[in-house]
Amino acid sequence: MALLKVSNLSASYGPIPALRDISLEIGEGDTLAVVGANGAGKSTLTLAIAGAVRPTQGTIEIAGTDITGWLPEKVAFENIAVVPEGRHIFDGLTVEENLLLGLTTRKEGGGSAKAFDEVYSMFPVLQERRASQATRLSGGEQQQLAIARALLSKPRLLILDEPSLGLAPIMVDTVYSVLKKLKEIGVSMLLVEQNPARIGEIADHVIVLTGGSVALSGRPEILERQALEDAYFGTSKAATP
Amino acid sequence: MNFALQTAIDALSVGSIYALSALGIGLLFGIMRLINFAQSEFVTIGIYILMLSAGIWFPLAALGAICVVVVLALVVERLAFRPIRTADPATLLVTSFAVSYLLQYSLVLIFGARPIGLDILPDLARPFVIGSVRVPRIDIATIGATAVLLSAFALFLRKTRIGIEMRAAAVDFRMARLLGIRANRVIAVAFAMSGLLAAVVAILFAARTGVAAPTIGLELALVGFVATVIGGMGSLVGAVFGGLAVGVVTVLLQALLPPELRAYREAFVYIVVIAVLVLRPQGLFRGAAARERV
Repeated sequence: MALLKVSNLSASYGPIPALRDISLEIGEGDTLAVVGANGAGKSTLTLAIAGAVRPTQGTIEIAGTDITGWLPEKVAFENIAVVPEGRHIFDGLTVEENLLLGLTTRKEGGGSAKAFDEVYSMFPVLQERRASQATRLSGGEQQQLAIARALLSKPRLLILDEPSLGLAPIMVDTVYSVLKKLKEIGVSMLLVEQNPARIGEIADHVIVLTGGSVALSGRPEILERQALEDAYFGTSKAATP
Repeated sequence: MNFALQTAIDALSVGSIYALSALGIGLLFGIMRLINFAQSEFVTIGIYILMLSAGIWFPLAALGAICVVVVLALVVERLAFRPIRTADPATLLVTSFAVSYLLQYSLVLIFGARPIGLDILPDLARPFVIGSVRVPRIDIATIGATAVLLSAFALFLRKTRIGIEMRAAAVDFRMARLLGIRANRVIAVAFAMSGLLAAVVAILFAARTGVAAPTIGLELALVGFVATVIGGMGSLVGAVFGGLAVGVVTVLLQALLPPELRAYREAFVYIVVIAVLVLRPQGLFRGAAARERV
């Protein structure tokens, strides 16, 4: 059974459709990459799965449980963690307070100290700066904080929306080395990413969105230049999983 | 020197009441983007409860007023605002006006429109005399109560789990919910806290004015709203400083304006408010007003 199964999902902002009839699946331990131009519906897709955008049609299932239309806080308790585009670090809260909120849905015991040790070993800079105001961190450090906060919930599914956006190459390396470790330990991921090389490092499967629809779907190799251009400009043929 | 000291204490006292009013409004705005004009009726009802409790041992009467107003705030949240929580801010605002008028005219029906005198803690009307300085005890009580309450709120917001959740929700409610923070719980606690603040304002204001009237809380709510705007919509620290600032400016103008212009004091206060907003349209402190609400 797929961990995440999205069937015929549509969503809109008022009269403007944002997603049209999207279907996808993510298996246990798999990583699905979502690519597409600005306005293609990538972020809306992540927010719809997380419960922050209400679908107008279709279903979303987590391990066979239909979570369509659930409130975001209820979806979070299904151990779906989101690292949204722009990181959304809480201004006015310290690094440690931001991390503490990541424990809200954690079911696994062991206490918060153990959970904090785990993420601090992965992101040592956060331990060094745990008493700092979170918004004083650099962009790369904030991205690490956003990922660490999501990991504290011990997610079954981690949704990352453009985690490398605006980061220096060395920071992108750091972020992706963490994502590879997560993949190794079996965390399922839905990754919105624009960099084909990075997608190739980590994704098992790719979908390309254009105008809110799946234009192309398949192995990461489909992101070779011509296929991607066809999908972006709407000249692709049928999807080939 | 004496005049300056007395004016400073008076300014701090008035500013304290405004700061508590502004914090009650700012707390709900930060989390829900709701400008709750019914906050004025929370204060007014607190004052009427104190009036009805005449003859009861004051701490018990004060506790009763606090309990009634907190429960009222929770009921208003559950019945009026929760069903429309995801509506646009204009709908929330109109609803808050509707709740405000409903409560206000309910008071008129029950108690009539005329002001009714009440006499709680008459000892507070007497001043402390230190040398040639006369400081009304109510001013000291107001400043002290505000300092204790704000310190307790600061501790609550910084040291408790629900307090940290509320601060996070005030900054970015959608992200807080994506982390599993329960909207119902955070908003209910925010309403309870705004009710507690309104009840304390009611106690202090009733002790100061000695009057219960159906519209007595309106000015406080208006000043509270203005204070949250100049403090920075969505910033709790800004709301407190905004309230203090409006109080200080009000008292300073009262003290410094020529007698023939004092009748127009409020106009001068709002000129200062406009000047602040022209210079800093986002308010004195950066708030989270522009962020998206779920």
